[in-house]
Amino acid sequence: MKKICTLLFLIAVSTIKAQKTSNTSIGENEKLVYTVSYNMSGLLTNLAQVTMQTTRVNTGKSNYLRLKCNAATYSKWDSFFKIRDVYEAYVNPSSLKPYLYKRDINEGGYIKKEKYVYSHKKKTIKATMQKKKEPNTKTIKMSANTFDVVSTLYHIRNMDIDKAPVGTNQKVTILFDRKPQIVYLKLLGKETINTKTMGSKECYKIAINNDALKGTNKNIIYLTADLNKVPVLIKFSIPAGTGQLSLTQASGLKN
Amino acid sequence: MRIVLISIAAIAAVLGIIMAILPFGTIGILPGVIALITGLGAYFLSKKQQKPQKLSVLFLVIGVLVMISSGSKSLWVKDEIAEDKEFQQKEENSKEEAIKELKEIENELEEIEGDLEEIEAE
Repeated sequence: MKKICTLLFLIAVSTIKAQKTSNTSIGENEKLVYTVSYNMSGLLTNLAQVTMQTTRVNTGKSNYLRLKCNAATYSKWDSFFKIRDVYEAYVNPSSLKPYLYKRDINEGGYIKKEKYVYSHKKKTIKATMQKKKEPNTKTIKMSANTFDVVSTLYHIRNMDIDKAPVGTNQKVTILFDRKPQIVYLKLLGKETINTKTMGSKECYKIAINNDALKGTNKNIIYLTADLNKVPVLIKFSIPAGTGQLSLTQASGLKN
Repeated sequence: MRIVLISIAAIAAVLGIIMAILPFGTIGILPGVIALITGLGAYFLSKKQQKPQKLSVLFLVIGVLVMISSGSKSLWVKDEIAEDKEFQQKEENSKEEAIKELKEIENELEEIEGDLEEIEAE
């Protein structure tokens, strides 16, 4: 019995750890558009649009994949609270290894800029942050699987989820505001989700658990159970309230 | 009871007007419905008790107007983002800056690799 338990544990660990080294899910001209809705007294109110786009960038020596996520409030909200956020990660197109991360946010006049320069040889990240004052740079030690929020999202899509048993927990470290945040990804199973653009799709239901987020298994990401692993629905529960991101447009998918 | 109903109708009517002005979408119907129901209740009670009915009628009408304006909002207020040229330019500039920064990273990497090769040769 003990041996069977040990074997099962090893299989579970090895399957979830076995992340693909090559990119099999992310296309080069992929564009995903989401509507961000916020829960107000039980009714969802549409607030903003989030666009996740990938493009190839060439420096003359190498090619990179630019993973760009931008958020903009709908024009009807602009006079009350205008949001214009850009998050970018420049990664290796085949391994999705990040080299540069940039964040430029403007939320109702609150401005913040952030930049991470990854040094995989030195195992360090040069992190620069700028609010109103002069930019401030500090060097952070890079542990295994420590990435920015954008790279992490695309890394999750490239994981071998189909081999992982239900209930598997994966620890991921996300660098946000220059602080490492430990996040646990828990595979809750499969669920069929109706989408505007892709119709009815069978999806992997993954819970994202972290101390900064509200509740356990309340923040959920639904990835299509196919090779593209497109996030079709993201449900969030934060101290400020609850809401969701639902996919409205999808183009340029790899598979 | 009449006073309570009129008070609730008044609060709901004010809230409904605010939500109808702000871009809240169809959620604004909710205070409109409350104003309508409580206004209606207050109207019948006032009639029964032979008391003035003006206020209850006013909140009842406001409730109906709020319901119409919030309910029809989805027809004339669309979920679309404004064309923001400044934002688009910022994104383009960020990409150009990133290419420069990536070139610097590549040069640094070459230097490190060169140093490593020298160490290995020694």
